Amino acid sequence: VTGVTPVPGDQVLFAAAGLLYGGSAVAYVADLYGTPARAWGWGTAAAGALAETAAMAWSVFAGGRSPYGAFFTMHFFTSLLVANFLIADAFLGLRAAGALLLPVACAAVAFAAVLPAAAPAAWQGAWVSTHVTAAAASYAAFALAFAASGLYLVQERALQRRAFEGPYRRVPPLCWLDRAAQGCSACGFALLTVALGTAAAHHRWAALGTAAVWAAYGAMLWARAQGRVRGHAAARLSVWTFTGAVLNLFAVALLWNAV
Amino acid sequence: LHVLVLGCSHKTAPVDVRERIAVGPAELPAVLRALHDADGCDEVALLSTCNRTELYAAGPHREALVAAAQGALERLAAARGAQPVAAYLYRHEQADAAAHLMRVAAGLDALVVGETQVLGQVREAYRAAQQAGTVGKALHGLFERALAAARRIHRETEIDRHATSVSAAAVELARKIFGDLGRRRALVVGAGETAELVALNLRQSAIGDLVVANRTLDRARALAERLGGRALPLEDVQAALPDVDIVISSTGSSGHLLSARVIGAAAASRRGEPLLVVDIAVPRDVEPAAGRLPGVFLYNVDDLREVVAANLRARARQAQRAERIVLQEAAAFGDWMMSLDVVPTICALREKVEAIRQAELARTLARLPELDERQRRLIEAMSTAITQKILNDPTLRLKELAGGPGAADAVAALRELFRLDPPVPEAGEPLPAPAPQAQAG
Repeated sequence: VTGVTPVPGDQVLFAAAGLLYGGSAVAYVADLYGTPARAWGWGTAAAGALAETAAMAWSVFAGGRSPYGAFFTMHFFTSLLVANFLIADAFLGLRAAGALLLPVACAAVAFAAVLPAAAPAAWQGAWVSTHVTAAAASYAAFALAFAASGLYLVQERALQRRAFEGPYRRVPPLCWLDRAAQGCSACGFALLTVALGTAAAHHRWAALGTAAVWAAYGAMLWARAQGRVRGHAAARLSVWTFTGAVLNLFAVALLWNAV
Repeated sequence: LHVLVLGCSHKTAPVDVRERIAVGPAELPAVLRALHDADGCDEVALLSTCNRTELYAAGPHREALVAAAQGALERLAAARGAQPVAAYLYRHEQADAAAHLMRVAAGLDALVVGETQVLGQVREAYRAAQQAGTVGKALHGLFERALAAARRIHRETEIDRHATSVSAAAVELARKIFGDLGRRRALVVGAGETAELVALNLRQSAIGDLVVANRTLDRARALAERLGGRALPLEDVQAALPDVDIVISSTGSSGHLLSARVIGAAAASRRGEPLLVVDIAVPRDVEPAAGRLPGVFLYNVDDLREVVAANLRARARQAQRAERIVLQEAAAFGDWMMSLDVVPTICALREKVEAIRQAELARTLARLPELDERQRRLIEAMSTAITQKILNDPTLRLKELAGGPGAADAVAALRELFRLDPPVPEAGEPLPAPAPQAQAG
């Protein structure tokens, strides 16, 4: 096991990132239900992402920690997820997704706090770098697909219940969300294919869970392409698949040092 | 300089009063010139719409301006043989007048809050006054700032973004489900007035394809031709359902024209793509059970009214944000108005001092031919610095006093002490030549 030297200050930055994500989640939920708080939400989320990135850089470059541990992978996933969301909010008008994604980011940071910071000595090199990067990026894309699908269900519910305030105003059109979820899932699937290949090459046992996630997304995309699943059913499937993917991510993170 | 607005609107006067002083576009230039000729009014503009008639005026003396504006509107009413309108008029002055025009231009004072039509009417009233030559510095500033404030309100708030009619609400729902309507197909069942309004809204929203079905095919064809769509006999509606995304039904049928079974079959063929059905007819054309089918969004006329009510509530909330912008912009206008009283004096003082500086500089340099270019530039810079420093305090102090009770006295004293006003020539006396600049030294 390598890289166990504690680095002063980084834990404070990681904790600050978690708190900022939590504050941002509250702001985005309030915004979804009609209290204009998007500027606060965006600002605190951006500050959280900066704090988290700075903590990772400080910890790796100044503290000499290995970036291949579960702890860093989880933070890498979280910062990518938030960065992707901030771009989607700024350029695609997907502000409502903050109400679903920032709680996920907050939970992931909290979960990372219980993970060991050290990485197994065997987990080094270009293959592992590629695996960690591709896996974190694919999960960030799946998270965006999850947000789009979740918002689809929220907007559909608002339309069916004739609730013409709050989410009805903030959430984008149903068909747009459906297409966005499909696009993000396809991106995530391509990235996960790379992650799966590199993991299998290094350690087949660790790739089992990832292979299951890969197969689930693959089946979903195939069904969409065939026109068998769309709209409500596709949204529910996407939410459940992402839930499974996150459980897999957490399980892999917990078992990281044992594999 | 004083600015005021005097007028009446739908909030203060019934239509039989408003029509007494309403002015149409054809008679507006003559009316503006007549108002401009009245004593006390240096500048005049008139905004006359179906909801309001308002006279905007500016002049140097408040009391004279108020009397002139009131007299002008009373003469307008009297010319039409109407009773006095004074009891229905409201009056706002200075920054309050600006705030009022900003509210009017932004649609905050309109029947439907946030409507955009009135912005064009304010712009038109301003242009008419400009063409008539009755607008000066004060009203120019007032209208330019009001129009800019209205544009800012529309840009920064969502006051005009939600549907306020039943037909527009149907299209809003379509947008909430499908987003861009450019690749969507709509079927309008019925060719009555309501159906036509919804179809027109769909066409204005760039719907991809529009089909009109009616019991009388000729009426369907006529409407389809007007809107650039296709016509269909009513019997073919069921067959057309699987191919459309949006169904708008508004016929006079006494029973259900579209059963839940028929709608369900159409929805099933869409493989999860949503189907929007808007039933505006009373009695309803579509069996209500269709609304419980997966993938079907069914709305009736009460639902559309609820959309409109929610939108009006949202606009009212946005109006509170808009009001904050109005207060900011009106305060800026008030500051600008106050500066108008002192700016001409400041300019005159600076022009006189600059003329003295240049004359003295030329005279001094002419006596010192041995100076090189650098030395000449230094002397010139020194003279500029001295005059700027001398002028700095009186300039700042005058700006501070602007609009306050001591401003007029300070301006008068400054003009007297520095002889900024040219002497008034006696009758028959030739105009005096400009004072020799060198005397000041």
